[in-house]
Amino acid sequence: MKPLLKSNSLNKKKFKFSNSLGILVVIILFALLIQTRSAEFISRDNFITLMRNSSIIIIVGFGQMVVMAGSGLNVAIGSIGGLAAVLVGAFVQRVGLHWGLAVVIAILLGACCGALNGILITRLGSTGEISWLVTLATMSIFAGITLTITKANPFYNLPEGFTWIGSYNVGGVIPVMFIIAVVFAVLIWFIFKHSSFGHQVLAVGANQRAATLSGIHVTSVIILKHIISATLAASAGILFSTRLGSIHSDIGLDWMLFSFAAPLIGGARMEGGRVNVFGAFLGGILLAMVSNAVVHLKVNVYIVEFLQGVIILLAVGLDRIRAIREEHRDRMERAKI
Amino acid sequence: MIKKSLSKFFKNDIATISVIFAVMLIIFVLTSDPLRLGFSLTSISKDVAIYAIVGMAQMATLAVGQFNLAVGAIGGASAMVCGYLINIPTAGNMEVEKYVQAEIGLAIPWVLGVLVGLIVGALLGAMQGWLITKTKINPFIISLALISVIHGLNMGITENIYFRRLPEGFTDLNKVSIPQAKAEIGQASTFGFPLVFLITIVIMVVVWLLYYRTAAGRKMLATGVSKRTADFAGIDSGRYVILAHTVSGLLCAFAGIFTASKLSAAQTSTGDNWLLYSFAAPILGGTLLSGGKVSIFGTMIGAGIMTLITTLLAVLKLDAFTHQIFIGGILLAAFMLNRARETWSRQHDTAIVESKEHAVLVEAEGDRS
Repeated sequence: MKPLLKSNSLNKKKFKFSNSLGILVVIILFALLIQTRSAEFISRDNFITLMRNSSIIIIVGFGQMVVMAGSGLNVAIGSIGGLAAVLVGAFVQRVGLHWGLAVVIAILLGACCGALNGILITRLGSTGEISWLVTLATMSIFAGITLTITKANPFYNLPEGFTWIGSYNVGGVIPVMFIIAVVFAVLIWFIFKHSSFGHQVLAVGANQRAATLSGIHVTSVIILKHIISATLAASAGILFSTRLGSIHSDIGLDWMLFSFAAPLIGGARMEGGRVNVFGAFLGGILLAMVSNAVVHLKVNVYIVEFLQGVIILLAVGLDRIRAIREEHRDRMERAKI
Repeated sequence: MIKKSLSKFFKNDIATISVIFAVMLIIFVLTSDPLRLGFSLTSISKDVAIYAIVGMAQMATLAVGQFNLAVGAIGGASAMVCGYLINIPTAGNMEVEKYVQAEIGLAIPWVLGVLVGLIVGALLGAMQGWLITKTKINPFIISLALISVIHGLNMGITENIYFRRLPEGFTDLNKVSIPQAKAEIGQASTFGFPLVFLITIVIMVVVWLLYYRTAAGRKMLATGVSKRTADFAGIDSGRYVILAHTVSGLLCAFAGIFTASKLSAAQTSTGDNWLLYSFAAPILGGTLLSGGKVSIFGTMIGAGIMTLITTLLAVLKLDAFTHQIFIGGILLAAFMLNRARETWSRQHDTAIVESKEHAVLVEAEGDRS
């Protein structure tokens, strides 16, 4: 008797069209294309800039991917990042705490924001729709708190140790920020590959009812994934401010779009149940390259927003085509049997 | 008995929020300067008009069980198109002000310009609906991507200039009110309904007719209750989802153009802060997030509540930065109310079914004896 699905051949084909490989090719082609127009694109300095920019996008993208994996969204991701950054500034300059302690407390408070999101979502119905509506409301609340703390004034003169994170390059080539992003990537990869929590999140994303019936405590999974997402967002906000050397209240306001774009380019499924950590990592790099290229080509800066939208549409469109093809292939195989 | 009637009262969508609105209005009337009261009420009603239309734009998509995140982007794009068409270009050389004020403009009759702006809004909405139904990609991500596509194009093409030499007839939509509101020094100001408010009421009536008196409206609501059931009942649900998005886009365009008329300037930032209001107004008003139920008058009251809250916060001299916290909090409260309403309506439905079953049983018993 033939097996129902030729899993072996299917896996091989999947590998062939692997998302990560595709993005890598796109990144290289894109870099070469820009290089022909602007000679400084492939240079050490620009690479360092690219790595710094992409590390923020990567971490924020992971923050969104964790929530997305379990069928939900976190629209408040940027405002949690901004709030955490501003809290560090307030603790250091108004309270007089050591910056290390301030960072730890700010990240913990960021995690509390995530817990609040998770609790509200589970109380109000824990569907994907509710998750983004609730975080839309909390986004406004967190951003309001950020503005109330700062009165829209930035914090300057931050301690040297703090700004060192954002400015030092290991061996003069690799920014500390990028190394932190890689560490996060490994952690997230480990969670989804080897921890039962990661598997539970994916199960909830694939089919919430089935997950409940198989004994997963969906409520705590949802709350926990929002806590992780908020922790990542808070870390990204603080990292961003170490790079700027000052803390502004508008940090995170423009994060929403690329937070979705990075994991979607990487091959995560919007409805949940599928993630690709390495793909999201590469997606972050690609997005950083696009905004960087716009600067190098000296085109209208407003076009970046448009391009990000188009990239998201392309990413989800390609994913949709792939899904239709897979469905078609499955049907054909079944027809053969 | 009292408890029962009280709970019945609170389960009525309009009644609860009307009470909240009335209380807030009374607080506002008591706290504000009596000399300026009429005038400030006139100006509040302009904001209510815009937010009611934005709320109805969101309501149109909620009715089919979907969302329109691009309300602000569509409104902004329509306002800019309309602004470009009706802007009166200046003759002289104004190099200095080039980046502040647009010298370009076609100066066509403003009614035509508004019409083209509305068509652009409807087309953008239709495009969103088409993409959602035809590609079957997650509606949220399509709408989110379209925000940046539309807003980015708007900024990229116009380079973030604004049109502020708009014809008088166009800005009169907000300046003229019936009866004309006047504020003379030392005398109590009078209240008048601004033209935009009256137009909004006409729009509300048209939307009401659409949902309660036309087949298309009923089919949209049916699609919202259950897409599958609608499909089985022979309704081409995809078509009605596209129609709902078109209506939504058209209403966004109205709101964008009214904002341009209110500010006497069409600018790209039009609609940037609409998203939260667009959800808060209809949901407070009784539109269900799960689809299939609209409340047009309720949306108006919801818009009134949102506008009064922001005004009251300003009157109470609260920090402008705290406004966002309040608006987010109200939106959360609205979702909780929505959750309760969904439960009630489910209970109500089950109660009806049970009472019918009971009646059938009683009848059967009667037959047997």
